Amino acid sequence: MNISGLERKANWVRNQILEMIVSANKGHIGGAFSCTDILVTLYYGGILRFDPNNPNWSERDRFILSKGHSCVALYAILGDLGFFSISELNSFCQKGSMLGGHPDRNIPGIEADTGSLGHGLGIATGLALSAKIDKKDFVSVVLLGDGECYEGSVWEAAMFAGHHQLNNLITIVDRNQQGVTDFTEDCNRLEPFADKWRAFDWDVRTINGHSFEELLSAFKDFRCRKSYRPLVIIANTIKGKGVSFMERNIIWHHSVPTDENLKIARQELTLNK
Amino acid sequence: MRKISYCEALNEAMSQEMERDPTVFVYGIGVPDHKRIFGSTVGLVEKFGSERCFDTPLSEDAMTGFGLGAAINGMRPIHVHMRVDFLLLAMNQLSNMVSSYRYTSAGKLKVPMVIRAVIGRGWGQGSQHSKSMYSVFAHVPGLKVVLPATPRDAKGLLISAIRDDNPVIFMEHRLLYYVSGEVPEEPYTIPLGKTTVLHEGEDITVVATSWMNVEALKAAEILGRRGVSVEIVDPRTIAPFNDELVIKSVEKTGYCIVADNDWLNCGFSAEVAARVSELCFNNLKSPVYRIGFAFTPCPSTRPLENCFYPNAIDIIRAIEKKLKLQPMDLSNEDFYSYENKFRGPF
Repeated sequence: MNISGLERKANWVRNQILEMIVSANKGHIGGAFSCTDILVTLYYGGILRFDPNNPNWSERDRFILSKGHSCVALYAILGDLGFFSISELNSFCQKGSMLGGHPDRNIPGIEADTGSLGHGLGIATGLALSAKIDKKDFVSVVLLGDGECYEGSVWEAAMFAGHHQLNNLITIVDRNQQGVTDFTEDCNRLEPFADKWRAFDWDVRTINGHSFEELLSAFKDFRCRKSYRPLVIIANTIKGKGVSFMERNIIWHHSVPTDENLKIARQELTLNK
Repeated sequence: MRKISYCEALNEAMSQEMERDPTVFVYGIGVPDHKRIFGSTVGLVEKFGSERCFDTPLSEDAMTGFGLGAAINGMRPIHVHMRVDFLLLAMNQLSNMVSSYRYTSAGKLKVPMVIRAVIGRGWGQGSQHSKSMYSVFAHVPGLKVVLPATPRDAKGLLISAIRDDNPVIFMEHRLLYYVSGEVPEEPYTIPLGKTTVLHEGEDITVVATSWMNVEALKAAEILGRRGVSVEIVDPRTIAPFNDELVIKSVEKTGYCIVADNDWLNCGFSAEVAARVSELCFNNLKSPVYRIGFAFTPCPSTRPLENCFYPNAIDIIRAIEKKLKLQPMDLSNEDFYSYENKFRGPF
């Protein structure tokens, strides 16, 4: 898919996110919007290897949404790609639905139960090391939240991956500068963030996580990287991206727009079409 | 006496103690945010400033170590966790450091630290937002574990916990937050390690913890109408656990049911059963019976939640069985009233 196609797809995903959250009256909208462009690039930009008709295909790339709160964005994509019927999206967080507020492995295309933060990178290092042992060429990709990087387990896994030279492991950090309750640099400074990863013997690429050009470029050697190091892509993003009043506003971590707010959100996402 | 909610009682206890003692401070994820730990930390940052009421990163282990450092240097930290489940990330600090510091320093260092942790419940909390886990903490020597069940106890026990020179794990059930009751306005203490009789009775003893006291009171009210007199004993503090009133009650009634807000396997209910068997075996007319969570992770859907959590109906049926009574008709009784009212915030 070319860049304008990716842009249209991302806009469609954001509209889906909005409507799913409004219809369920719950969901983490801010973080879902901040990682939408990353997910769209991975799934529609020819990066990840997958088969919607065979979600457990042994050669698939493993993608772990460690920031499981943003699952609503991934659901929209998996539904659109046919991992499950797209009509399932209407049931998000409703009684009897398989699409709950956090992702789990009962959902086709979901690789790990997540939401409890700090676990995804550890699992991904296990997948990456076992791929090496099994001589498989699949790539393990994990998307972390930046607030999630406060967990010590993230850095324990990062050190392990660096030591074992897991160059088949890619971590993407959705660097939207916010956690649930505060801005990261006010709560507990993460910067110099890239230097921290470098010190753990990772390659680092820092990009604008809303630029499809930069995203595609960051993934260009996805399966054939020459480096022996694991790669982290620090994707600078905006929490709530796409709806002006949600952007960088702490209350839109998991609030649900109603009335006037909803009208504005719909308008702004329509204008972007 | 004026009535306030359990949540307001917690808030008042902290506010009054912070006013009285400048070494008391509150910290934790979400403490000063817009939801303020379900309302329990409302007004603290405005009143005492961000030096004494502040947010923390998602670093439970390190932040518990921080509290330990502050405590051995003369401060009185209150560390708040929105879910007990994630307090487990600090288990190393708690079981290897915080609990033993006073002992291993031959009493030279004190650890006056309170860890507040909320036991989640309500639609969809699921397996990672709903654990009790208090028996795990009570298992470790050096940790005190408190489970207040009423607004009055919440305030008096929290003040005692803050003034205590030892680490105290203070566990609050989410559904209790909106329960209201009489609470004195002035600061007061309720000693840690003191059991209470919540409801006097003659026929059977129910030892209940945390939320299960609400269910036990409901059961006692319903059974009272058919002439069955239930005595409810609330340990309030499970470490140290003073069993005196439990034993006295069972000596009187001859029957004991433990209604625990937790899984039964290796839980506090087993501790109660063991003590009752050891200390008043001859008074028991039948074996101790225990009621607790189904032994599975907590399900997310409401119908399964209703199977997972024990309630007043289970207590009534267990009492009827013990006392060899015919099951009464409960079709006109109102159960699940708190669950039906509960709309979050989660």
